[in-house]
Amino acid sequence: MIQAETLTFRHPEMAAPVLRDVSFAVAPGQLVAVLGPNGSGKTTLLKCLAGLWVPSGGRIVLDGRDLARLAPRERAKRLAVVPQEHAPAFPYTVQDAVLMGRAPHIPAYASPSSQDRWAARVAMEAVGIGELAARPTSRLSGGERQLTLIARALAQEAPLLLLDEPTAHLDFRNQHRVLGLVRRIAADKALTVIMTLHDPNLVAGIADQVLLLKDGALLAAGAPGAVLTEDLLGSLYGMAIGVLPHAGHRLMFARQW
Amino acid sequence: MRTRAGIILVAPVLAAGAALFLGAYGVAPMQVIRILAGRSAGTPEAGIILDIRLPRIVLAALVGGALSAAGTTLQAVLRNPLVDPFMLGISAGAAFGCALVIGFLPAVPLPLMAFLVGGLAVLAACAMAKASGQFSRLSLVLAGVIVSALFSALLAIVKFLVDPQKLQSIVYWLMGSFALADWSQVGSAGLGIGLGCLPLVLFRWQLNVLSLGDDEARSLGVHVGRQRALFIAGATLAATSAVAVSGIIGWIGLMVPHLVRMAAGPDHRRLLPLSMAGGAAVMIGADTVARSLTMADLPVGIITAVAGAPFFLYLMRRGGKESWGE
Repeated sequence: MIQAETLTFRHPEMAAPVLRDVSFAVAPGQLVAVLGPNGSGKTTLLKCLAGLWVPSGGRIVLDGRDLARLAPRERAKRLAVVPQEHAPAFPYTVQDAVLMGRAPHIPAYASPSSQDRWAARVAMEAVGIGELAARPTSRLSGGERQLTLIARALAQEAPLLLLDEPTAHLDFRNQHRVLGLVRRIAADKALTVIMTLHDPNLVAGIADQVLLLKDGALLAAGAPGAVLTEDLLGSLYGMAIGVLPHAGHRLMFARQW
Repeated sequence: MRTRAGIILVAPVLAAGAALFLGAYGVAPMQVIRILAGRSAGTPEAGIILDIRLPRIVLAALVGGALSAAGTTLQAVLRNPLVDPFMLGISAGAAFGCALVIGFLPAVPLPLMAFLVGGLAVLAACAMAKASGQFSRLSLVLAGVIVSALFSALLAIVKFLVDPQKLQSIVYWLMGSFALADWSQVGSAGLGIGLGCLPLVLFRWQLNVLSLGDDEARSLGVHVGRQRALFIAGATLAATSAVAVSGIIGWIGLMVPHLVRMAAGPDHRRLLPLSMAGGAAVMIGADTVARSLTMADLPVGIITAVAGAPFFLYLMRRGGKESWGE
């Protein structure tokens, strides 16, 4: 589906690269979580995968084609992004915001058709925000805003979904609600999902594959059971971490504060 | 929402209708109707209605629509509710270009020079705002102020060097007025304004997407640089074509989009055409006030400036953080 090949990213004015020789492959239908401390390069990796930032070395291959060579419209039909920050200049309604997900399918000179409005409607129903359609996005709670952005990405009808810390501003319940929803929808529609997350416990509950990112390099990659170990997590975060199996779950906690 | 949109759409027609009956030279209402029906051709009153009032009203509508369309577009693509052609220095640049033509280069077409220098001004403002690091709302407004000041200074040099007779016509034209409107002006302004507004109207839904910011628009498949350049070029052509026939008329491009957004919401599919209609209506109204308030036919730019300053104050108080949004 998508592969990163010796991906390196360097900001123009900084000597140290943010990403160093990162390589991995994601198979269709997988749900991949990227885990790492602040500043480890998670968001940079996601921006590169989204095609928003151009890697300074290596390349990203999407469906067998070099991502950097895809026109914006072609790229947007293949992958949809749920950004972490969303600050529209004007308070569009939820309906209009979701409708913008149709942009890659609408010629630049045209407005959305009834078919596009229908697709937006379906996306809103899929995440359960149908009744918020007429609400201005400026008057949404953190969870509702996240769901609106997810609905917009679904309206895009791209097979690959990238989410940048989708749980960042959410409470305990909403974190699980949003991630549960993403997993259900991904399974229903056979989507491939890559997301960055902060909580190893959420990762253990949802991911098929985990990438551990430390100082811009891949520390380990694999199934949650193989990667979320005391050793690897301890080395990832630089602190003592315990892992407890409990009724089919893995519970991770800090051994010292 | 739908009734409000309807009211805004018919407003310019009503304003134009009312404006036809008002003026310094009294023409009885029944006679105006007879003239419009083509029953009093050749009379002096017919000349006043058909060759003085009507082109003036049409020109005011075109200019008001153009300035509002440009303001709406610039506010969206620059993600900044505080900009319009006037704030960004486009008007000042166009004015300098026009003064240069009036004073020294009579062979150059006025609208062309206005577009070239106005375009230069908007490029300079955007480059300056970008150079300060973040392309923030405040830095853009500041850059606009700086560019405006620069072109005002250049304009002052022209005024200083030009001979007194031409100076008078530059000064009067700068104040912003439709007093000299005729059908040939309507034609030349209409061409530039039409060409400038065409891409804005055609691509207006993309304004919604662009206003989300570069990264989001790009991830939604928009070719951000190309699309934004097209919008800024269209808005600049429309605004400078307006400046070339009417001088500097400030605030319309800022006030009207805000008022229409409050009435009909931010979706540009509706906002852009409604802003154009609203701008046309407001401009016809302001010009009718300007020419009926005193016998002297005040420049309409004075009327809009006097109304605009308190409006900006109101925006600052109401919007606060939301409008300045750093």
